[in-house]
Amino acid sequence: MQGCVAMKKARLILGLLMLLCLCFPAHAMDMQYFKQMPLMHEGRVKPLGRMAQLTLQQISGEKQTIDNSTIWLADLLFDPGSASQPKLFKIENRQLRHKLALVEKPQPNYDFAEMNEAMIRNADNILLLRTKNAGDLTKLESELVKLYTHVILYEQLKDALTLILPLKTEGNKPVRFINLSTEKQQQEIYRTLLAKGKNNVIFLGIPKKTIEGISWTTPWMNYTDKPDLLNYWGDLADAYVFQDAAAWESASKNLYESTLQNIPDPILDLRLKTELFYLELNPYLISMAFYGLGLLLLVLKRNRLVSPVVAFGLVFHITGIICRIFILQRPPVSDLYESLLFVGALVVFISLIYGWRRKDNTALLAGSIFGVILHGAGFALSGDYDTLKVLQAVLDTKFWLATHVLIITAGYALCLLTSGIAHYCLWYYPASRKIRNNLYIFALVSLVFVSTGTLLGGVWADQSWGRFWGWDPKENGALLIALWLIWLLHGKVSRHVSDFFFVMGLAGLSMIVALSWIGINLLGVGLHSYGFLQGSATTLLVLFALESAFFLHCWKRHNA
Amino acid sequence: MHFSVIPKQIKKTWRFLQRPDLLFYILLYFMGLLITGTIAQKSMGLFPATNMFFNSFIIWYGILPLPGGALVMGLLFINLLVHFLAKSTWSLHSFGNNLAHLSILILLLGGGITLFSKKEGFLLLPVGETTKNIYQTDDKDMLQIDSKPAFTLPFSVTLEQFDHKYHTGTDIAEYYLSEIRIKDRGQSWEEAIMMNDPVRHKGYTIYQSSFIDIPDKPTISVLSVVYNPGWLFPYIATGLLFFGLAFHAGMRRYEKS
Repeated sequence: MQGCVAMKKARLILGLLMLLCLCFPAHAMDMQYFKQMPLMHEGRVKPLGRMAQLTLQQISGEKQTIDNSTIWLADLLFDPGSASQPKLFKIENRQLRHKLALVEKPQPNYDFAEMNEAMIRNADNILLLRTKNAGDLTKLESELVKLYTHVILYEQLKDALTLILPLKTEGNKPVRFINLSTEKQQQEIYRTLLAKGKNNVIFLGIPKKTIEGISWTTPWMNYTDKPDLLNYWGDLADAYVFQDAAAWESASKNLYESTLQNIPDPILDLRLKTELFYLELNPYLISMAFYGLGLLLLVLKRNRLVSPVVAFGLVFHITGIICRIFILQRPPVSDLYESLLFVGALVVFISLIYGWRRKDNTALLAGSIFGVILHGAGFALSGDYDTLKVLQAVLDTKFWLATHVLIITAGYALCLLTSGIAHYCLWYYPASRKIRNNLYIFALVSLVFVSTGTLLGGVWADQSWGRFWGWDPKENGALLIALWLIWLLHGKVSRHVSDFFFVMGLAGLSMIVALSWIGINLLGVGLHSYGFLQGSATTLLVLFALESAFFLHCWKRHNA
Repeated sequence: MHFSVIPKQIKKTWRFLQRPDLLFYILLYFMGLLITGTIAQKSMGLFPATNMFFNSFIIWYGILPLPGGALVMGLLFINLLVHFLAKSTWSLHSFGNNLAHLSILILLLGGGITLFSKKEGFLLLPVGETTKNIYQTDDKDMLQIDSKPAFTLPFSVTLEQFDHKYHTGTDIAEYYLSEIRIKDRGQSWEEAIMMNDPVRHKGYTIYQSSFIDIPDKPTISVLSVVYNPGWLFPYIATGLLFFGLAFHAGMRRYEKS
């Protein structure tokens, strides 16, 4: 009887699974090579799948997977007529919907055709707004201009391959625009196609060798040259349009390999694969989870498990950073986001080494907390944009990125760790004597890195701009950390500050670092004012309030 | 002259200037000044706030005179120098510490030399033109090219060619390149200026700052020029500071173990 019930359950589960498979059929085409196809996008050669993901996220305003985005882009490129159907454009602002005279719906999602009509209706107004500075626009106007750029982006992608798409078939042979006679190309319908295509600058998928190096072009830029790669894109389009999976696989492989042959970069294939691996793995989510688990184990007093768990998380964290170095071929610290990743890894690494040598998990507690916080800040900062960015000319110097920036960020990491340990010492003051004795050396080593890194930054500035020091906010922030440490260390030696105040001063180092590292960007002035983090002012204020309350509590308890 | 005949007042001052609590309070004031001056940059602008708070000797807060950055750093230099000369003991234990303090002295000395002797401005060169004239910005950070040049170079500079490139599909600069010809005392030679790669001649550093593109006219390359006799001091200070502090930290660790 029981066996019969089990059988029924098994059949039911099998039936449900089959139903699920029918509801979500696997895409018939193998997208591996297509997803990996090299493209020039936002100044960098990246896999088509990543470009598709970024574009779809930009237009829809929602998180997207690389696989889904690749399928979306394939539909849009090769079947632009039916791909106009999805209602990608989400307009939550009622005022904007009203301004564009859009039909109100339960869900404010619109397709390209609806958006295109709305844009045509408001063309004069939009063109006028685009001549103004971004700072002079109202919120509504900014949203309208942003929406317009999304519609244009969508349209450009839709028309990117119309040059080689099969327009119709004559016998079994597809007829493409590129193969039409010049006379036929003059017909009105084809003239529209040509006009739209010639303005296409988004889909830079055809590399061409020039005297100055590789020049990336769109298919329409090769309208007269007709290079081989264009024919291979044509083969791919045929395979997609006629839903021939075997032809698609062979055409995408052929196109991928032929494109790589045109680029003199022997590791490009590996870089493209690494980028997809890096993005699909999402290593920082894993490392953050393991740091969180490490913290949980510390709370549960499973001390022996903490180090291995945190170390396992660090492996993923470092794997992510190594992938970035390999993909971008440069040191991993060029902006606020990258510095968050690098400082986070260093804090955890140093705390692991310290904990392992001292058989003490205090530093690991601080390391794991900062590991989680810095990852959180990194996720908040990265948003839906590409964090793998090209460098500004002034930053394009591997030597200074590898010296000044790495040293100063190592200084930040040491300061945060010192501050974390000092928090622990303060909470358990005066019982924390053993670890408190190490604080002086922590502060001293932090000072070595912060001061050397700051001065090296001055030397870089002298090399780049002919001046060592310009009192730029970022320079002042770094100097403030160094001065704070010098003041505390000298105060401790000359006994102007008590041991308790010394510990409290070092605990407050995290606030000074937060001000110097992130807060300084809020000023929005100077040469270093990059990486503005929206909402960071509130976060900093909350952090300062919490820290002040903590210090006040410890101070009161100490004096009681 | 025997030490005992030195007037008491000088001895007293000498002892006062050595005091570590002087450093303690100067640093505290300096940090306050640094924070105030940096925040003021938001409302006042970078250059006016820098001049008011950091390059000045006196800051007038209404009728109240307060020490400016230059005075604070001068006092810091004197305090450090006197302490260094009078109190330094040269042993392996204090070697790193002394070296670090010496590096700060060198840094502050260099800063002083720079403050009193630095000249800076801009060379505006359309392709094919030659000039010696250097222009400066006004209080609002606007370049004053219609006024008299701030100073002239002891050599002439001709812009032979200018090139710049953006990363494809972005407005992020990939590189700038100004090919210039320097003419000095009958000799003439070519140099290339790129970002992070300035040209130095006769104490003048010429580096790429910007460019102006006007339709149907030759591109104007904007080159910054700095004359700074104190430029070498920070380089020496950086090396000494690193070795000094690292040695000191190492010694502390070694002695502790």
